[in-house]
Amino acid sequence: MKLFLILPILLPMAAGALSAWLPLPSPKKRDGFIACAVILNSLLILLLILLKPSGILTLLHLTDSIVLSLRLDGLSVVFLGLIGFLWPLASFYAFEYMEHEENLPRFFAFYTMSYGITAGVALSANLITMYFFYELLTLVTVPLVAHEEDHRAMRAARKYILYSIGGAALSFVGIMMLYSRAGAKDYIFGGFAPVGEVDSYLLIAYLLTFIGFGVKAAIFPLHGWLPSAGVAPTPVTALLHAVAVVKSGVFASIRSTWFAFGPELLFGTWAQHAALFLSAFTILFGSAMALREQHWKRRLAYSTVSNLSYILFGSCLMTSAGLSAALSHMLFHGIMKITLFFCAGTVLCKTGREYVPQTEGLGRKMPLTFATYLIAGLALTGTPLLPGYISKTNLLTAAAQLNDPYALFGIVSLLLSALLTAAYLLPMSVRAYIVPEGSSLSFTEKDRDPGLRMLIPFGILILAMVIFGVHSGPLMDALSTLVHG
Amino acid sequence: MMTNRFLILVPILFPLLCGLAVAFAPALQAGSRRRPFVLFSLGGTFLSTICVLLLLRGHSLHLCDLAPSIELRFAVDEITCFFAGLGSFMWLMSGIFSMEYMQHETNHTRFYAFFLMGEASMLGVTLSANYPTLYLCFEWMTLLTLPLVFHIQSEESIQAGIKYLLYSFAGAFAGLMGIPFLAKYGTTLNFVHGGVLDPLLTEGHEGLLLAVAFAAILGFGAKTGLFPLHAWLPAAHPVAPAPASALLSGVVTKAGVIAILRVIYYLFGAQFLAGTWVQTALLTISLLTVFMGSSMAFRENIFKKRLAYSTVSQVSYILFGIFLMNDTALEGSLLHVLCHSLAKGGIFLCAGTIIYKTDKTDVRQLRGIGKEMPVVLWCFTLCSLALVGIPPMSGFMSKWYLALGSLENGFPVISWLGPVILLISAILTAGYLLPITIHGFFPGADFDYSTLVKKDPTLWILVPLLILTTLAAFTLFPQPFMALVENTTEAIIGGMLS
Repeated sequence: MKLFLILPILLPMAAGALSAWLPLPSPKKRDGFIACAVILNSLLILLLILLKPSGILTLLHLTDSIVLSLRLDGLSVVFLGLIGFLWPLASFYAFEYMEHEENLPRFFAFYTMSYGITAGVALSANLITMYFFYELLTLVTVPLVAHEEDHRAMRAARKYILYSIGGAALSFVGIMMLYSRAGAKDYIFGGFAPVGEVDSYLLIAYLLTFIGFGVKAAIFPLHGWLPSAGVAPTPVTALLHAVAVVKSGVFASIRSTWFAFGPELLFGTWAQHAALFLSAFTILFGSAMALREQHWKRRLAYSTVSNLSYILFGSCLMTSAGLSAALSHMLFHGIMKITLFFCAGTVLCKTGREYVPQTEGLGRKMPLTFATYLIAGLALTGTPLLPGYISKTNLLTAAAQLNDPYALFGIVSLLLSALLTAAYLLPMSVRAYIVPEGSSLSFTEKDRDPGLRMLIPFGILILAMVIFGVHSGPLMDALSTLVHG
Repeated sequence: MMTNRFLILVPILFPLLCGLAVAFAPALQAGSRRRPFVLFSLGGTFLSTICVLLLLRGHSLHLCDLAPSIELRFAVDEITCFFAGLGSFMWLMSGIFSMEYMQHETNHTRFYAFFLMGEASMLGVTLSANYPTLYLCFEWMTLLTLPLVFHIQSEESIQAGIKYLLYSFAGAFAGLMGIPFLAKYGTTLNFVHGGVLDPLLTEGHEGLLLAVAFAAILGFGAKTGLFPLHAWLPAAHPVAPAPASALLSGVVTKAGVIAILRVIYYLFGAQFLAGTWVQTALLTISLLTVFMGSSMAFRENIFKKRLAYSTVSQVSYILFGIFLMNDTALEGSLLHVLCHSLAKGGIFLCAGTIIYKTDKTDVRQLRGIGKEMPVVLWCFTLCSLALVGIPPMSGFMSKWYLALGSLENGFPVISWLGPVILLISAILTAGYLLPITIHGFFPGADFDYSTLVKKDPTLWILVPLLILTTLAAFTLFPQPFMALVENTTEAIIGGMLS
């Protein structure tokens, strides 16, 4: 039974590799092949989530104590569920988006392979296995960032490699320091580091790991790669740089905080305060930068910088309320941000407009796209009846439970950031629909809503947002039991 | 008597569905069908609201949970009765007025769709029975009234709309701050007479909670035009079409008043706030806003902008009374809610009519207007007198009680400074409203009477104007109104501060 655990990793990797080498006669056939593989894999993940096979699947003994092994626990379920839901949507979106691009076999090969590797990050049973998949994820996504192969794309890819590998190295040092003190163990909820007197060695190790994994989670001051990586085609930015890759960073951080070092060791120490401060500051910083940025996709990337830190902040509160709040924001942000990116990408792909002021009046020509954008924008801002409100209230409530000046700083940053979010998302929605009288805007034939392959993902995502926004009780209950199980 | 508690939702759902019908039903796109439908919706909302208030008083409904700790609750209590009746009545009057007025505007479908949905959200604010529900309705009220602000689609109105959106959101997020802390230090997030703070938990954290209460009140104050989040109001109210500005000034600002009443009297508790720095600061800020608004209105020459500054000032009268936290002052506040809603609604409708008929937007152009539109200017004059507070009109009573309440309070400086500022502001109010009347009726000897044309509007405009004027000017004295205000005050504050 537990052998099944390897399938969601192997299937997309094999399918991706095959799609590039098999002599598939036409792009249509390739799309069909990939669609089948991705949907099959998502069904497989669904099956795994439902069956919940217990036990650890050992892949490889590197040494006696260092083992690559897989396991499915509550936290894996959350992350797997998120990517399993979004990947097929993003793939369908990509089929239409990428129609006019070149080098498609390469693109779809790596795009699909990264599904498997992300699943590997989710399914790892210990830090070393996760580290292995984490590095692999960087490598397979580099060709996606560099896809355009122009000057900007190559620079962005180089930046991406340097930041990611550097960050991973940092966390590797942290992991080794932990292992040297506590032994190489599998994840346990609550951590396995020895708890006793305050141990600066372990706290330093934790901070190194936090900052190292924080690179992929785009924490200040190591966020620089994410806005640059926006040069990649939108399916990559939307899925990898709003969900899969960056959330692997967040996921890794949660794993190390909650399942390796353990909140018991960290709670109330300077290491926790440093982590809280960094994430609270990034929340504000990301939003402020997003407001300044006029390039649409880069603005959304800065918004991601900010929102990833909401999740880190929740996890670093080191209370179970904080953790489930963080996980709820991880899920909801994934859905909301991928929707925003899809809309920006649709406009870019159909009309070639990439700056925010260029979208003025475009809502009349592309009403469905901008309606989707408005709903997702309201959701991210935190309007009630949409999911962002739920997760932000959860985060605020969890932070208020702590009587801690750093948590208070976090609350203030969260609220200010919510206002900044409104300021960088909503006015452009207004201007997209409402054009001042007498202004001379010219539109062309191309300025119209996309085809069904893009619209169907929009519809599904909106539906998901409304459902979670109005009735998140079961999900929240599930999250709080999952993290303990 | 068995009554279905779900009927509480009728005043929210009915206008909401009607608004959606206007937006999406092709059958209602033609003006000839939309008109009767909108009137039917507004009338139906008014009647159903009154029925709900009468039948379901004291009932509450736990609708659903958005998340485990975020409940949606609605209830009919004294604040609901007071504000929901007033709000739906004002909406009906404005709606009737708009039938004629909106003919020279475009985009009717959008206007009426949001007009009706805006009413739904406003009634939602009055019916909310806990903090998250209030917040929800408050946010959606901003969003649903936003299209009314930029309706005419000039660059100025779009900017004003965005300003409105961001100021309101800034305020709402400050208001949101209350939820996590009340969840920690309170017993419940539902509105409870006297407040929900748990004294055992609160002990030692008073400073933090006072700061949170202060932030929340200032935040919700954004909707009322309270300093420092007032700047959107003089930008947004004037650019909206007249029926919408009448409602924005007359009713939507009162939603902020409701939220502040809830925060003070039903969440943190007046006892917790009375006598603290928060009360002092809020009183000072509200007096400052009263004075600032009046003097800005006095200096402003654009007609509707002047009225918007006047709203900033007048709504802070109401807040001043609420912040005093005693029953005399609160009675004054509630009276002033009635007075200001009716009178300012009426004044905005008059201004709208004048601008609609003559295209004159500057008050200096209005010489002799009384000769052209005597009925309208008479209504304007009576509403202005009511707002200034000339006895025996409604504003007199409210300001009288506010001043008494202030003197009763015994705060070191504020207790006598309050009445002084109210008086100065009343003089300024007379100074910025009455000259319009004087120049309108007495244009001076050198005025050329030959160009005058009778321009009094049709009954669509005159009927609501006359009703509002009559109510604002004369009917606050008769016992039912005073009794309503007294009962409401008793219900809000009774037994809380002894």
